[in-house]
Amino acid sequence: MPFSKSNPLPDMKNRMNRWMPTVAMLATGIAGWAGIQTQTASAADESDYYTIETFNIPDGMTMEVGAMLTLGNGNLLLGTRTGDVYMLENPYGDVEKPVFKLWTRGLAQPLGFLEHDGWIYTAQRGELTRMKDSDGDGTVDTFETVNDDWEISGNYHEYNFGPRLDPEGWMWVTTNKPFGGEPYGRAHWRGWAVRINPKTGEMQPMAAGLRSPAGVETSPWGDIFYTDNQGEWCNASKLSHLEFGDYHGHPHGLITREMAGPPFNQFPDPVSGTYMKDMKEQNPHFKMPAVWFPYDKMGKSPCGFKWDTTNGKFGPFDGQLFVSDQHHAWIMRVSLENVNGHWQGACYRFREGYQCGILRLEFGKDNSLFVGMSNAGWGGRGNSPWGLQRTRWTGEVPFEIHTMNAKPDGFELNFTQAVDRQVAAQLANYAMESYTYKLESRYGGPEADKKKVNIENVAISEDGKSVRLFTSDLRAGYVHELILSNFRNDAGVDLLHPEAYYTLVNIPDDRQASTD
Amino acid sequence: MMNLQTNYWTRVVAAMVLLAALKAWDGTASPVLPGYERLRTDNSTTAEFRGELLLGELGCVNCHKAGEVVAARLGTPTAPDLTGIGARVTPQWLTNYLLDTHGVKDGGKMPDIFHSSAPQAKAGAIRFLVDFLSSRGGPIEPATIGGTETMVERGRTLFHSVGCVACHAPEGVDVSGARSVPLPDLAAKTTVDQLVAFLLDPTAHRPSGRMPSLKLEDAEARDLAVYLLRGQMEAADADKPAQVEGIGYEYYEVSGLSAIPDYDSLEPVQKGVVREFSVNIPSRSRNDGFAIRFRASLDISEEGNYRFWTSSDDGSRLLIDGNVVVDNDGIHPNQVRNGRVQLSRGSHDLEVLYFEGGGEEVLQVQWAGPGIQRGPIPIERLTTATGIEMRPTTWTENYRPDPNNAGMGSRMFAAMRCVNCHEMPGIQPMSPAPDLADLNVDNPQGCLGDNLSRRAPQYRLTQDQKSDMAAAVRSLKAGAEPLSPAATVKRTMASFNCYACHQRDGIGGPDESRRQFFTTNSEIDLGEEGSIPPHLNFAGAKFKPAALKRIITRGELHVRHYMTTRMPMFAEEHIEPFLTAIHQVDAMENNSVEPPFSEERIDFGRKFVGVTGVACVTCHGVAGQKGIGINGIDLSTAYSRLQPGWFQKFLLAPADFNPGTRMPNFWPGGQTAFPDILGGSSTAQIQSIWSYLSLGKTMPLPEGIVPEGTVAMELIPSSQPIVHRTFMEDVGPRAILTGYPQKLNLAFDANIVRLAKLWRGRFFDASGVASGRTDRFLSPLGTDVLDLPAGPAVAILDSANASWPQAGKTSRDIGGDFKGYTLDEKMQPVFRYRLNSLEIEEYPQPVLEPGGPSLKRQFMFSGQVPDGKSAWLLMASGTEISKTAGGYLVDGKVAIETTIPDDSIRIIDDGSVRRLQARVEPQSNPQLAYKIKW
Repeated sequence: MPFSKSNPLPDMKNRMNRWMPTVAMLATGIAGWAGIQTQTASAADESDYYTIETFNIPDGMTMEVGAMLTLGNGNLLLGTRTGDVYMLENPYGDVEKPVFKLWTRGLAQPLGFLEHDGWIYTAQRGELTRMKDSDGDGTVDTFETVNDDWEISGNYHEYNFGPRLDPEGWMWVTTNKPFGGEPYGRAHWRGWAVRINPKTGEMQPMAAGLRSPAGVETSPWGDIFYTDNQGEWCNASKLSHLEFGDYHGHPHGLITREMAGPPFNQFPDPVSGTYMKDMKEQNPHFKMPAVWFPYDKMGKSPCGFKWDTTNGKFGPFDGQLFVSDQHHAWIMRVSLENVNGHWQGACYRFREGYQCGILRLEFGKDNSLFVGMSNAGWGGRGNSPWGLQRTRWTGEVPFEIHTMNAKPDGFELNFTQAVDRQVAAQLANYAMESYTYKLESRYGGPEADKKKVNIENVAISEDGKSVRLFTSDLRAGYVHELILSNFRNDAGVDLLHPEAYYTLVNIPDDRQASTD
Repeated sequence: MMNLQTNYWTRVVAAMVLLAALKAWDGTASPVLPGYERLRTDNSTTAEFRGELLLGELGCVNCHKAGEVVAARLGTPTAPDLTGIGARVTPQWLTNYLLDTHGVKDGGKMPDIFHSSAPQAKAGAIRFLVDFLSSRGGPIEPATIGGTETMVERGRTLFHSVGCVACHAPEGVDVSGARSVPLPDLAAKTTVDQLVAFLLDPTAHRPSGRMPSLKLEDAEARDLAVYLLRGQMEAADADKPAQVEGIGYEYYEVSGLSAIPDYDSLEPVQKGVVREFSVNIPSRSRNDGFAIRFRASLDISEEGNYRFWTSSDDGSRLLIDGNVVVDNDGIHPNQVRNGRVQLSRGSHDLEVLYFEGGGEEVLQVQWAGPGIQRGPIPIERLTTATGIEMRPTTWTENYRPDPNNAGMGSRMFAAMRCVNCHEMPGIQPMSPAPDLADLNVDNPQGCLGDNLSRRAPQYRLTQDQKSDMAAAVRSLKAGAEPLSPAATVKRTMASFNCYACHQRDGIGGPDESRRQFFTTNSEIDLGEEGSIPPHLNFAGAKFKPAALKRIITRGELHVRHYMTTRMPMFAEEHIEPFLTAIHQVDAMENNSVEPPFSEERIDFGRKFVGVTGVACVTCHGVAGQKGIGINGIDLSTAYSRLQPGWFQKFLLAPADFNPGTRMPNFWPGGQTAFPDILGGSSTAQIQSIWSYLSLGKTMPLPEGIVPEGTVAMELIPSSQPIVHRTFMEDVGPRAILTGYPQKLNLAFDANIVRLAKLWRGRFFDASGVASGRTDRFLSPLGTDVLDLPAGPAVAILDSANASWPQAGKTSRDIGGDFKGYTLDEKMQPVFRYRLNSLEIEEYPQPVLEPGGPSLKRQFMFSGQVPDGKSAWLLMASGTEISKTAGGYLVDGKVAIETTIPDDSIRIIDDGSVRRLQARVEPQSNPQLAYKIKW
């Protein structure tokens, strides 16, 4: 019997209804399951709104996608972990018959591509490289080292990500810290964000304290953001804004602080056990995350992410971010707002059931989303060790929490469709708690200082598409986790994903609120 | 007869009575039982339950007799065996302990039996008791093991990592005192030898098993004992070193070695004592560029002719009494050399020198002699004099027990009821106390009262402890059933302080302040699952009964090899009731029923475990082979440990069993991602994995697991060259390899901008970095490997014979930059780099020739050479370079063919090597080329 790789995991919507067997039930035997499944006739399914198609990878080709770029001509450039680079011509056609052409090979784990001035730039293990096919024969013939100031000791975990271009024309690269032994001794510039001038090759240190920054991206307004993975000195995965002079919490890279000059040379070693919200007392340059991804609830390893710049052609989430997760083989969604000068916001589930942990996302010219994956030696969900998939919007609008925004006295929820007012009016349908994280030397840490947030009142807008939540329990520096129950739209369709996790670094003041 | 008027005793009495009186006020010395504190603060038990725990642990029924049922409920531990106490503890410490029981061991369980005695009478009684006890097996012998700072450090690390601090207080960290089992001033109490013996087998003298065996190696026990008794080193005469068994070593880090260095001119990175001649010394942090000097005193028991061997990669040398016996120096693969020497009886200075330049590292030393077969030198023959003599701080050698006093002491041992707890041959308990059933817990003069009678032992119980014990006695008097299984589990975990490490039913697990001491032995991506011992919820359902017994009582099936904390060993007789009870409490229906077993299912199971299935091998080892990503628990142990029913349920919802686990849920909501396999039944799919795992160590390897040494991802240049960036042994983490279809291969080092290695035949295995989470530095697959000179290809020198710049393996401080490469029409790379003011293009090309391909190196130079300096191309280096017809011959095997005129070429003697170098003149002659044949 063939061992077939079937497509997408089956429908998971019911997990929202908490029908997962509890341990107590398990102890009494699996037979008890059937009785506790609850189903509603109007249940929604992610696949009604977003499809997943799996590219058929030719035999003998290892498509461990680590870098992915839609070129100006619409072709998709795919960099693999083994260092091969394939050109997928017309990636918008039949996924059963893709034509992959080997563009070049032998790179040292390229984990990002950028097209600029006729070159393709990529961060390899040891250097920022640019390459091109000068004679037009379909393969690269010129490789130039743009900068190799960062070092590697030969540890597997010393990955580099990027580059991404900023408005000043510099290219940002984020560097992983090693994990485990360092065969050639301790290397400098590990756990940093640096930027490189592609014209001069000059490198500038930009931010310290990164751990495993597997995604880096330029926002539509020109700021740089990155995702970091839970681990030592990073109790929960996060999305953070990168600015010059930031400290993001991991001490490994501080061995390079003297070389980096001010302000980095003033950074003290962090004290393990400090609440991150209090870290500015130790280091005024400490940067709080924009969004925390609570462990397991919102994936385990956020990687590549993309802003939706399709102007509504990929569904109702224009301007928001899609964030891939390398463990849960799913994509999450993030909305950001700037509150008192800090970018912060909420994360939500979006689409699950991809074939393995996702490293890279890329929009195509036709507004479909390419999803490139490799488990790369990490455990995770799914039924394939690597591959390439494509997600398209069906044109149906899912009933979702579109945005959760902070208010001085609570939150505002905007939905993609009008809510059932009766359900939305019942306070019992809102469960909220808040918790925060410490900066600790241990590997990952718990949700700390957890408290229930009492929703005292709600107000539903006239059009039924937004709901204001009022509470006096807001805590700055805390994740506010919201779980809605029984929500449906006015057509009776269940809310597709009833959870939202808002990272409330700053509470907006009244003045800001009054501009609504 | 009661002549107490020695000076010593008067002083002791005066001092200690005063101290005891002061101590009586502070009230801090109540008995500390971490399990009790845990239950009390976790607030999850009744006063009666906690009181029974105390009644048992404090040995109340040793005096207050109880019926069989009650006695079994209380499970009283056996007190320390004092039959040989005189050999283990100094008389002075015994004296101090009896004089001030609670002061000397703050929080100990032993009661003060002299709390109401008049000072003189007390001093007399104690002298009798001490003379009696120290004549049991005494006197204590001086330590034979000396201490070193390195031993203290290693012991400190062990103490704070293997699990000691789960129960005892860590050094310098504020932990909850009430949960720390107290340690007295051990340096005052005993010797290193005695403590080593105790640590290796704690239950020999403390049969209660409350202090379990941590499965220490002999050397670990010595380190730990020296650490615990480090106070003796401070007090010791540092000029009086003791001999310790072992080999003293000094470890040096020096890059670029090609011969044994002059150790005296170097600063050792570390010193210490080891037990074998090996490259595996503690804390070695690199695999290349290091050197070790071993020194020991060799004990020769028979005069005669001895022969010694060293086997090493790279060089080694063995000296005896300063004379070279084996010379195995120089850079070489593992090779064996030997030498003979005549040795007289007695001790001789043995010295083994070793260095490692790069590549593999090996060192072995063997000997043979009169009546001695060839083999390693037994450790008993080797001593080193780095230790400091250690002796108990209370030690006075002139103490001699008086036999008459000892006789009196033996009677007091019975009269004071010592023997009720501490059994002693030939001594019978006397003057019984009231039976437990007759106790009046409200008697103010009883053990629980506030106004103790002279005959009641003083435990210094807290009010909480007293009221819990009173509640327990009342309830036991009202009638007692045997403990329920659930209570048995909880009681055992409290008594043996399992809760210090393991959580069960919401109780226990390491205290917040102690978690930092639970670590992994290498960085491993497992979070706290890798460092904190597992919880024991459902343990009775999880484990097969025989497996749980082996885990707890035999030290077997401890599968978390990455965890530094060790699971201790407990005695079977103590744990048997617990084992029976936990399987009863956790029983799950049909838990042990084996699922269907068939070859087809094994095959499916194997596929599920492999990378095209759910890829268990990403995080789990299989049958001794490492996992691809994390090397987690080896799957081949699952069948012998786990119950099939539990396994099924666990795989369906791992996070329900281990919240926060890294183990993914591969059947979310019970649904499969593989609907075509086994009818899409999740149950059958998981059963198939079980069937596969049931093969244990004989399981065929699943897809994705490649046995060590296998070529997993061979790159084969067929029609055109393959350029491949990777990590490579002896080249570095920025190696750019090129394999040509002509079966010639090269490695370029982009860090030091040099051609580093040539070889013929097969090219390279890419799996060193391109599979799993690996960072293996692999060597060429082919043959005829030729290492090219270290240092950059080109240098600008003050003069032709100036020394060539050298660089460490990650250092790029040789004034150069790698600039990239272009591919010619045959896809052959042209490397571009800069060295100071010179821009260089290097174009290697294979040349087919009879006998195998050779390499043409073609260079194009541009830029300026600074005035007063000259630029040189390093063509080759070796110990012998001679001129031939068409060029030069290096070391008799590497031929350099070139048309570069002779007057542009120099042979430079650079001390250890000769260099063949060609003048670079970019303006007049921008191109240079030569051919390497080997």
